[in-house]
This record gives sequence, C-alpha cells and structure tokens, in this order.
Amino acid sequence: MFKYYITRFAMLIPKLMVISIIVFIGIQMIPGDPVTRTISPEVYAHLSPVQLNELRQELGLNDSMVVQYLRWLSGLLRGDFGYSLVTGGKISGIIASRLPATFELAFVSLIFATILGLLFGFISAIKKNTIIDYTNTVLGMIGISVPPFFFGLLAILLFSIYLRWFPTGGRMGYGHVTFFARLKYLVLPAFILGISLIATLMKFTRGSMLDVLSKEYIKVARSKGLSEIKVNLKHGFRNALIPIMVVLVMRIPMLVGGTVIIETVFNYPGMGSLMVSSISGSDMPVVMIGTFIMTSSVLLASFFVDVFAAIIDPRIRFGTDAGGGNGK
Amino acid sequence: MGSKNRVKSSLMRRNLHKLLSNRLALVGLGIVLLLVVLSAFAPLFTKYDPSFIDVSQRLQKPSMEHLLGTDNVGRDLFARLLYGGRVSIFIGIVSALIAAAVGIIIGSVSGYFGGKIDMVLLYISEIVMSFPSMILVLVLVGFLGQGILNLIIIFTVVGWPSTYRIIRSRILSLREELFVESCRASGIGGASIMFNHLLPNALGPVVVIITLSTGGYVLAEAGLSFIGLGVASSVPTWGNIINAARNLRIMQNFPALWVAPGVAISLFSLGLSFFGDGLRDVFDPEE
Amino acid sequence: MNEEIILKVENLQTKFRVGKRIVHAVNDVSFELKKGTMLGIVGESGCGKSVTAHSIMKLLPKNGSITGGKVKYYDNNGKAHILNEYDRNSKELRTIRGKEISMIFQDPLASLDPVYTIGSQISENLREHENISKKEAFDRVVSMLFELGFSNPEERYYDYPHNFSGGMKQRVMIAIAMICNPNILIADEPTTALDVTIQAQILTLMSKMQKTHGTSTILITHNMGIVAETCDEVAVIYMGRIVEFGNLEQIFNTPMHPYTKALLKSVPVLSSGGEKRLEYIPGATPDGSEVIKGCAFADRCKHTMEICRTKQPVESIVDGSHRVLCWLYDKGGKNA
Repeated sequence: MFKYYITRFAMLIPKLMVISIIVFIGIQMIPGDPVTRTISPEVYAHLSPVQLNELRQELGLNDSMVVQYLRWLSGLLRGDFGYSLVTGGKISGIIASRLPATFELAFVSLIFATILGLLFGFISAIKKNTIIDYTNTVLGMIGISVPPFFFGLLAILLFSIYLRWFPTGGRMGYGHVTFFARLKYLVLPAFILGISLIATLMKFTRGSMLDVLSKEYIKVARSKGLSEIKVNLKHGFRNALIPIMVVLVMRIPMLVGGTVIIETVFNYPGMGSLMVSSISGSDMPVVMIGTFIMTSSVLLASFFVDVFAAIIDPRIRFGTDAGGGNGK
Repeated sequence: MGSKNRVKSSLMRRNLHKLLSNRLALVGLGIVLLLVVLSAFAPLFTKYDPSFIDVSQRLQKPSMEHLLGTDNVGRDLFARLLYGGRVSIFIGIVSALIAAAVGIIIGSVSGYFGGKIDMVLLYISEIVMSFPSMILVLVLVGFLGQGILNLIIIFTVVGWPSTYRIIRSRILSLREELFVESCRASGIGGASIMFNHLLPNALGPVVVIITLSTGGYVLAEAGLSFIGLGVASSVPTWGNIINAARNLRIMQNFPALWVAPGVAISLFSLGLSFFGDGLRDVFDPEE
Repeated sequence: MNEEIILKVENLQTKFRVGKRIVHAVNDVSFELKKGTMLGIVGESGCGKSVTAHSIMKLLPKNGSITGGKVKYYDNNGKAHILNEYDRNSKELRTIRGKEISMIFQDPLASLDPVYTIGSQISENLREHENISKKEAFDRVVSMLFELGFSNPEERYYDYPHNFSGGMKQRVMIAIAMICNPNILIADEPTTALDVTIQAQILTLMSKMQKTHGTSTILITHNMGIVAETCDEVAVIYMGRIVEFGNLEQIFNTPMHPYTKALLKSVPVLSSGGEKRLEYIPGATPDGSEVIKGCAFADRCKHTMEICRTKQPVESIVDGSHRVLCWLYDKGGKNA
C-alpha cells in the first residue's frame, strides 16, 4: 500500500525536472543582461564593465548550459529564485507574500466546490428526471459557459455595491490577521473561482452515480434490507466517487489557472494577479518562477487527489499485488 | 462498395435525426448561428463605425439612435458589440480549427508510426497538459506579445493535445482491427490506409472537440483582453469592451456597457456547449 | 398435503414501462412454497421467472411495478404479511429483506461491492438485522465462511472481491444470503454465470445448506437438469404464466403441458443416462408488449387447436398438486 504512494510520488519527479528545464530555458530566452537577474540591481548599477566581466566569470555565466542549469536548480531548491527586473527585490520574497494568499483562495475554493459539486450531482442522480434534476442541469450548463470574470463583476455589483455584504476586493483590511477576519474577503472570489468546477463535478457525479446505481451490487444492498440512504451513500456514492477523482485531478489546473482572472477581478494580492502585473511590466523572471511554482503545486495537488482515490478504491491500492492474497 | 455506402449514409441519416431531435442542441446551434451572422454581416445591422469617437455623445443611455447607448468616449455600443463579435468569434473558430488540425497531424504521425516517435510525442503532450493552460497562455503572451495572430498561435500551442490524444488512441485501437489487415493484404499503401479508413472513424469526437474548444477560446480571449493581455485595446473584441468595467464608476453606474458584451459571450459559449453536448451524444452514445 | 405453507403467490402481475410501451413480464403467476422444501421455477430466458423472484421482495427497477395479485408471507409467528402492499423501501419490507427472506443473484461477479471487504459485506447484513457486537458478527461470518468451504476464513474475511474467483464470489453471496438464517431463500439463476465444474459445486453446496438449515428455497433456473437434482416441486413458466406445476415425479415422469415436454427434451438431463437426442423448441418467445389473445405457446406448439388461438386456457387439476394450463387437458386431464 505504501509502495503505491511512493511509486506515485516518484513519478512526479521526472515531470518536475522537465518543467524546471523548460522554465530555465524560458529564463535564458529573456532579453537583457542575465547578470541583472542574479544580483541586486543596486549593486549592478555601481559596477564597471571590467568588474561586470569578472562577475560574469564568477557567477558562472560563461559555463556550459548544463552546469548553469544545475546551479540554478540547486538555487531553486534552496529557495533562491533570483531577482525581479522591476522592483529589484528577491523573487523569493515576492512569492512568499503572494503564495499563501493564492493557496488560501484555491484551497477554500477547491474544498467548497468539490462538496457542492458532489452534493448537487448526488441529488440530481437520486432525483433523476425531476424538476430538481433539470434545474441543476441547466444551472450547470450556465456555470460552465458564463466567463468567470463576468460572474465576478455581477457578484461585485450585486453583493458588494448594492447589498454591501462583502468588500469589493482585496484580501484583508487593517488588522485582519486571522483567517476568519479575512473570510469575508474570500467568500466571493472563492465561490466564483469554483463555479465551473461545481458545474463539472455535478455533471460527472450525476453520471457516475446513475451508472453505479444500475449495478447489481446496489440491488444486493437493497436485498439486505438496508435503507435507501445507506444504499445510496455507502454503496452508491462511495463507488461513484472513484471515477470522479480522475475528473478532479484534471480540473485542478483549471482552478489554479482561474486564479489569474479572479484575482484580477477582485484585486486579490496572490500569485495570479502577480503573474498579470509581471507580464504587463515585462518582469519575465517573476513570470517564469511563478509558472514553475504554480505548475508544481498543481502536480502536488493532483498527487494528493490520487492518494485519496487509492484510499477509497482498494483495487488501485492493491493493484500491483492483487494476486498476493489469493489462496486458491 | 455500393452497399457499404448505403450503410454509411443510413448511419449518417440516423445520426442527423438524433441530432435534430435534440431540442437543446438545436437551440444552441440557433444561438451560435445568430451571433455569427450578426457579427459577420455587422455593416448590415448598424450604421456606426465601432471605433468612431464622438465625445459629445459619450455615455448615452440606450435609445433608438444608439440601441445599447454609447461608451465613455461616445462609441456606439451595439456597433462595437457586433464588430467585437467578429474578432472574438474569428479567434475562437480559427484557433479551434488550427489546434485540431495540428492535433490530427501529430496524432496521426504518433499513432501510425508508434514506437519512439509516439513515446516522445505523447510525453510532449503530457508536459503541455501538466501546465495549467491559463498560466501557459500567459507565459507565451509574455514572450510573444499581444495581438490576434499571437493569440491564435498561443491557443494552438496550448490546445493541440486534446485532439492529439483522441486521434492517437483511435488510430492505435483501430490499427489492431482486422479490416486494416485486409487492406494491407489487398495491397493498399500504408498512408492511404490511415487516411481513407482510420481517420473517418475518429472525426466524430474531433468535431465535438472543435465545437467545445471554440467556446473555450472565445472565453479565454475575453478573459485575457479583460485583464489587458489579449488583443490590443484599440481593436474591439468582447473582452476589450468588458474591460471598461474595471473602472468602478462605469461598473456601478453604466452596467449596460459591460453586461451587454458579457451576455453576448455567455450566450455564444452556452450555445456552443448545448450544441457540442448534442454532438457528443450522437458520436459517443456511451457517455 | 398438509405441509405448512410459508409463501403464497396469488395471481401475480408485474409490468414494466419501457419508453412508451408497457411490457407484461408476469401475467398471472400463482404458487405455494412449502416450509423446508425447494421449489424450482423453470423457463426460457425472458419468460418472467426472474421478474417473479424480484417481485416477491419488491426489488424491481423503478420502471417496474406489481399491478395485480398478492404475495403472502407467513412469518415464524404465523402472521401473514402481504408483501406487495408494503411500500417499495418501507421499514416493514426492509425488516423482512435479508433477515427473513434473502436472495442470491444471477451474476456473482457484479454482485459484490468492489470497495468493501467481503467480511464487511457479509456482516453488514447481520448487523443490520441483529443487535450484536462486532466480535460476535465476525465470529458468525467466519464460521459461515468455513461452512461454505473457505479453508482460511479469518484471512479471507479481510479480502476484497477482486481477489476472488467467480465461484468463490457466489459462495460469498450465499454467505450474505444465509448469514441471518432466513426462512426463505430465493436463488435467481445462481449458477448461470459460472463454469460448468463450479456450477455443480455451488449446487451441491446450496442443497447442503438448504438441508442443514431447513431453509425453504425457490430456485430459478432454465436448466431442467438442475431442477431434477435439487428440487422437490417444480413450476414451469412461460410468457409470465405458470403452465404446469407439480412435484418432481409428476413433472418428470408424467409431464402434461407440451412446453414442459419440449423443455425436458431440449435439456440434457445428466441423471437420465443414455444417449438421447436433444430437441429444440421451434420459434422464439413472443414479445412481452404484445397482447396475445389465446395461449401464448400456440405458435410453437405441436398440438395447437382452434381454441388455443382464441381463448386463454384455464387451469386443469391433474392429480392433487399437479396442475396444468392447457386446452388439451380441459376435460379432467384424460386427453394426451
């Protein structure tokens, strides 16, 4: 069982390596003097051309690309991401201030959207072909089709400007240190970010539930005299969840990508809005590091969903040694 | 041969019948066609130039003169919506078609040759897909810059793997089937087997992908233009028009300016999902 | 004939709605199950035998419903329950399902939930109906598994269904059905999906269980050979009607209905010995959505008469419990 998790985790590493190589190549393609990206601009401004050349030698910029990549990678692993072209600050510092915000937003959104999507899909399936099911289906179509930033604008107009329930944007007011103080800033963006995930999960949960409910073992469960709730949840829903985990893994990148738009709409100071402002300001080193961090987070998140899928499905867990317990 | 054609055409008739009996799919197709016609023949429906600035007419309420009113520099909103639709829909459709074409070509190569070529191409597609597509789009915008052509290129780079995977897996599984063997026995060459027999079998799902991804690219263009990283703001697109809403005063006091393009995008994309889902039911009854 | 009756089905009628059509799966089925005996219900596929079984416990899919007749079950206190009057998933019905009447299904490969251990799936039934501790439940399940021929039941308890072969899965299904020691066991084609060699093992096992626990059993099958080996009484069903009913000797030694005779000739009966030519029954079973005026077997019967095509036959009592639904025997069963 552990073997499975470790194998899955080990499979992440080559992928992360390839992504880091792509990011490294991207950084090399940024126009301008690479020295500026490894030392602070203030220092750079005071250097003579001779000193610069020495520095270049010293920094290893004349080394082969492979050596440079390995050095860059080891820096990356130690949290040395280089310097921003625009602010001149360390990229690690910028990321440190932005990553928790996006993590908070994406995580809350993911949990919330997963719960709602599964719940609505479940209800739609057990109330198949009723008015509730049809309403859910139509709302789901709208949720997938309407662009999230338009939802965001409508929500700001309605809930922030007219009803004044939530702030129009930002992450926290003065002194809002705890998570709960920030919650009112989080509600709208997290919900809007999750809408298309809710809709997708609902659609797949409905389909998966209907598929499972037509299985023979559901009839067996009924024949044991179990209540409908037990049949639907314990035997129906638990089995329906398994294929949905795959859908969830595929949708996590979209959720994380969606932060770019949502954070801009809500002026939310996270990785997504950082990406946008850095591209507008041609701060490509920040863009590349941001890309690396967001992509690796997505891979890591998918890994955790895979782990969860293995927990609920013994066939995945014991997939490698299915013959082990077979005592014929 | 004749009987084979008859079988094919009756299958097509049945599929067509199935599609026509899906009311939601027809409504979707209707919405999409309406928006396409309105945009394509924009000059027939409005007398205004979408870029003509008339400061004396700024921020007019909707009237007979200006059907949806005017924006903050006096441009007619209805005209901008129609001409904006031209650009947005053009980007969406062309990106979807090119991405699918690239996917078909790479997928055919991968599926037909197999072996190392297949492995490398499959791995590349996996790497492309492991990036969140929005992030990849942004990075490419950072390198290539904004503009209609660049957006189409970028959407192609990000979007080809979905078609690629379908084509590849269809070809791999169909290759195993006997009728290919019988073709080979009767002396038809390799490439012609692939294109005459294998591809038609895979085209159904590709049509579905093109339909659904057109909507996806229209949404992506709108999102990018909305955050100011799509098409240059001088060109009217649905996303650029909505961009006005980033001004809180306009957002609050002149909702028509951004709600109208928002509704247009939503309707177009909703129409495509209805139609695309209908197509999927026809081509892939198991789902 | 003074054995105690435990289940009485009277004029059962079950219909399905398929799109806009109504399919009459069970038209008129009546039989009695005597305590401690095994009743075989035999017929071709699509004749309504499975639907009959599912109707007893109201385990029909949502588009199916019982539209007429009665299913009467007499519990240990002699109290009569009219099962078809209970709601589909009512408390009354659920206390009987699995506890007093249980069922084994056709396809053991699909009958076990893949995400739970087989032990927990067996004890689920037990713990639903009996207020016992986990430990007691475990012990009961283990001894049941042992009785069913698992050599290391304590270990197998924690195995998942994907570790089991088809025959073992069906043993697990028997365990699920028998763990509460039910009064009635309904086995719906329990061996159809299994290999021939495994079929015999499962049947032997079921007979043994039926004898040791004294469970009254309904065995649904299309195989006359299986009936011959295991059953006490036989109901032959065709197009949703019981066309002949009798005890084993009556059905095998003096079959009356042309369909029964044809069935006997079309199925290899192992115990009969000797080389006998198998016959097939010409034609196919009619579509259940058509309403047939006369006898449903008329088109395939060798002895069709004028009346067969116009009027539904009435039941003739041949000899005690032996009854037949055929115009040939209308005058006291003397005709042959």
